[in-house]
Amino acid sequence: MIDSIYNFFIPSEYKQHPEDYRQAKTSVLFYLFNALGLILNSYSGFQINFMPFTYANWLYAVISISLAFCVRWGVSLRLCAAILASIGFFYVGFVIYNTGGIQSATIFGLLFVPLYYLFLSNNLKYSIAWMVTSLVCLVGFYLYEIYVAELPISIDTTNIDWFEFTVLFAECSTVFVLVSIFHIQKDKAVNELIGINQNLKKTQDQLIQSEKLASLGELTAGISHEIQNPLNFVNNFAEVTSELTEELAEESGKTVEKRDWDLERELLNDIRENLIKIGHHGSRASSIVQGMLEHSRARTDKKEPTDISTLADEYLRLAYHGLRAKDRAFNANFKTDFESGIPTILTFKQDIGRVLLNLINNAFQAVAEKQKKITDEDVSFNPEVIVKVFRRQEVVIITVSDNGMGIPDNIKEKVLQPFYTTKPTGQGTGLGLSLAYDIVVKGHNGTLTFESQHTVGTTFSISLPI
Amino acid sequence: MKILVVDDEKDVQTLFVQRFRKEIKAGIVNFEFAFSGEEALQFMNNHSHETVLILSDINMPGMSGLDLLKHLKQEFKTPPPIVMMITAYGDEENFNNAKSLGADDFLTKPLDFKKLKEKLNLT
Repeated sequence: MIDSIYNFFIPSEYKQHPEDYRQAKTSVLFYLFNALGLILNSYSGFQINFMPFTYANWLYAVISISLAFCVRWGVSLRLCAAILASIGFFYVGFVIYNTGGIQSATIFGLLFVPLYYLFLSNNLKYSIAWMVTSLVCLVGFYLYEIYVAELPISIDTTNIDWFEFTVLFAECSTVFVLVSIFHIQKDKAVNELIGINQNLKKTQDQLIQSEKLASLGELTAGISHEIQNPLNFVNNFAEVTSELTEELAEESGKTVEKRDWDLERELLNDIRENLIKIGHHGSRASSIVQGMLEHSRARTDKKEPTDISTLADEYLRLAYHGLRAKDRAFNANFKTDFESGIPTILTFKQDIGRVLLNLINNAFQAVAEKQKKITDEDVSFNPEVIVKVFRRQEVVIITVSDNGMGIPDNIKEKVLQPFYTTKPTGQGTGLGLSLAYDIVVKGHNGTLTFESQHTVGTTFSISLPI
Repeated sequence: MKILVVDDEKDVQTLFVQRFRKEIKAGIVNFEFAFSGEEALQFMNNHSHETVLILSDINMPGMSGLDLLKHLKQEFKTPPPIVMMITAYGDEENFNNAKSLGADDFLTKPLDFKKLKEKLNLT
């Protein structure tokens, strides 16, 4: 029933904008209910022997219904609300003037007009203006009655109780209905928004996960290189060490006179050093596997002590070899400058790792791009990425600098925005830097800033509190 | 016989020295090490006439093994040094590139020292 009223009065254009549609529904329902109330109320005119009241009610009711049709014909909701409020104002003023001024029950209607306007137009500024007007009128009536004359009661007072009762009843029920309609519509809108928001959050989580997987994919090549190298050392040193032990066994099997003590000592020394190297390269490989596992794992909810320099070094190598594996022509220098004695800080390690990976990857890509451009012009260019870690008072600062093309001024503001990417569709989600920003700023109370000079290079700086 | 080994991993030095312990002691081979392409070129500029063989890794930051190979083949013609490239297993692309740049021989990672010794006629 209500839906068919909506469909009849509200043009379908409104449906495209949920907020406007809601407003239109509130307006139409109110105009019709207001008219109904006025028609029922017009009966009181006979009771109090004051027919102008009945006519005013009929006129106002007709206008109110017309306004519903105005909505149907495309007149703006705000204009309809303004018409209703103006007419309502005159109606209320007329009735007050004839029913005893300030003591008339209709006086409340004066204060309800701005309220109607607010709910119908959704325009607070103008409804405040209406409220001020209402208050001025109220004061006007009061002063007039005090200083000039009591307003006459033009109605038959024998039935005044009935009149006052019906007026109050109509006013109160109209206001209540209006507020209820408004509340129901708002409630629906809010619930809808909550649903949309939950969906968005879910989608965002999925996106973050796929961003993680994408960066893991980029890493795979780098990881296999970085694991293969230490494993080669482990194998080679193991083999050479077993040879050394054979040699040592042979030497120690000789008679005391023939034994070469210096050689034995040297062999023993080498064996010990080799075993240390085997251990070193083994743990190097396992720390990479560890890092990879951490990178793909959903975040733990506990921060752990992190050696930022080690982490930066690890991801620098992974990024470098990952890019090398993807693009054979790519080459760049990388340098590290790690201040010694930096304390470990509590971080979500894999999150910070992802931030570093992202910044370093970007830096390498920036120099690679410049390299491609430069070779056309035959100018010598030494692509270089520098990662520094140092301490300034109570923060650890990590900078990733490249001497690439720099970020053009017109996109500087956008680079931290979600989904902004300069890469072709499908090659970047545009989430990397905005996630990095969230991780550093929201997750660690740090800062992420960058400085960039076109054609000279870019430096990203992260600061993390100790 | 002077051999220049070029690799960015420093432990390669220890490995070679131990693997060729006897040969080094006997004075048959003499190893020099460079940890980047640039360093290798610098070394060659000073010692080109003594060095007969260069063993170079390909995957190095900065000047790569392939860049080094190009420079070596262009700049050191008399006598031309023998250049052996070390490639990762299954890396056809680098293998072909190195071949077209004039690499004399190849070794795959992980290094098989027995094979290397055979190639050097040390066995």
